[in-house]
Amino acid sequence: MSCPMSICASAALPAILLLLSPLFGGLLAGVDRKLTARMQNRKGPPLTQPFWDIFKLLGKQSMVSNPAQILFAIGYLGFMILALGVFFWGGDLLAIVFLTTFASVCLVLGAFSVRSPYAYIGGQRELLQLASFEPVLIAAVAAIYLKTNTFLVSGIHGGLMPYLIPSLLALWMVLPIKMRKSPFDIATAHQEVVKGPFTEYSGAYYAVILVGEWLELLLVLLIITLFVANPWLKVLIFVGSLVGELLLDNACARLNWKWLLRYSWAIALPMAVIGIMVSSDVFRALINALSAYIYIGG
Amino acid sequence: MAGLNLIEQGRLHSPWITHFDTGSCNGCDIEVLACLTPKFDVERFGILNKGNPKHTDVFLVTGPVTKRSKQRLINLYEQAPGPKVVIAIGSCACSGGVYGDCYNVEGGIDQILPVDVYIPGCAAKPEAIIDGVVVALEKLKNLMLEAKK
Ligand code: SF4
Repeated sequence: MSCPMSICASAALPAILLLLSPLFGGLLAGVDRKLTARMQNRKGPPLTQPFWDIFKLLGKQSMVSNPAQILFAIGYLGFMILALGVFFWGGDLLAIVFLTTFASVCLVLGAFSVRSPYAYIGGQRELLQLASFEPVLIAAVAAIYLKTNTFLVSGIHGGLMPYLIPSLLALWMVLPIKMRKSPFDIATAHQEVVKGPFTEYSGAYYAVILVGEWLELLLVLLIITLFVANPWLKVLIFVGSLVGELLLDNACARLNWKWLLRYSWAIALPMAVIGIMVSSDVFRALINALSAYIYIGG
Repeated sequence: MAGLNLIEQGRLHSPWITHFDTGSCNGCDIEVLACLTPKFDVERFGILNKGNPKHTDVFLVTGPVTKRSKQRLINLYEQAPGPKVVIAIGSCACSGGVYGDCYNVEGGIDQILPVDVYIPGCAAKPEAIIDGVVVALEKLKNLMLEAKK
């Protein structure tokens, strides 16, 4: 209250970040394509390629299957922008998780609103991806809460690391599911279900979806940076997650949906639950009691 | 590229292709796919194989049009939002080629769709196919520049 200038400044920085995020997300997508090309021993497109794609799509003839489709495309992007905004303003992590879920649900509804069988299958697979990714993300957020006693992004400071390693591992495990990359690119499986939930979008509305995807990638990577405190470590973990993910993408073939569920519910989810246990006080009290018991008993 | 706005430049920088086989012997199809391999790497130019008519800018058609594939070809073409280009790849697609006189063949692609670029060869070489796409983009650019005048 004492200094209105500082309040202005603290509101302006997140706004600038939010405005710049499509630019940054597009560059991330460009880096993704370039690195993928280099890993396959190709030259690859220029870094600015994703932006050219968007410009071109904006100029395409408009062909929509139904008006609901437009609503869901804009809903997807809108919820993503909201989630990113909440993040930059240091808001509630739980709200971010739910907003991204709404965004994915928009995608599924958009896929179900048309009559293309490819979009249908893609929508159902997108739901499966959601069911695999979301519990792990919520468990990771819960673990962060247990360590810091707050869901606010602005309230999370460093020193979380040793207790949150299982949660981080679990998040890394499900990262390819969220990024729709091999081995779990089952929703948008090209050459198999054409482009899954995106099949029926064209022109400007496909551009909207693409920008939404960039923001989604950016947001997930940003959530991962919350686990470390040091700014350099943040950058390292951001870049490391992306590069590791691309390596995996290029080294793996696509698995089917049964493998997706087995993997996420039998490996990643238990890991996330261990993450919650390790970071909860009850668990530590139990361990202490147990060790005291063994000590006395011995 | 003076005189073109960002959207028009985007069209030249990001041609997404869909490849359709109307009944070719598969020779030309293999050459089309060869363009996407690391050796030729058409993604350098922003070219992506989309396999989805709704995301298509450049329509690569191989093979003579058979009576059976004719309607499918028209459907795919109509589902692609404009502006779009059609490229006929291989002698068969250009004129019907060796299958020209068969009882089930309608002839080249141009009997059905407006073709922008013809790429001859049996089978057409990957270099020739890439060259054909470049020529098509050149044509598109000139059209856009002319529309401005
Ligand atoms: S042009 Fe030759 S290689 Fe190509 S489809 Fe016809 S016969 Fe086959």
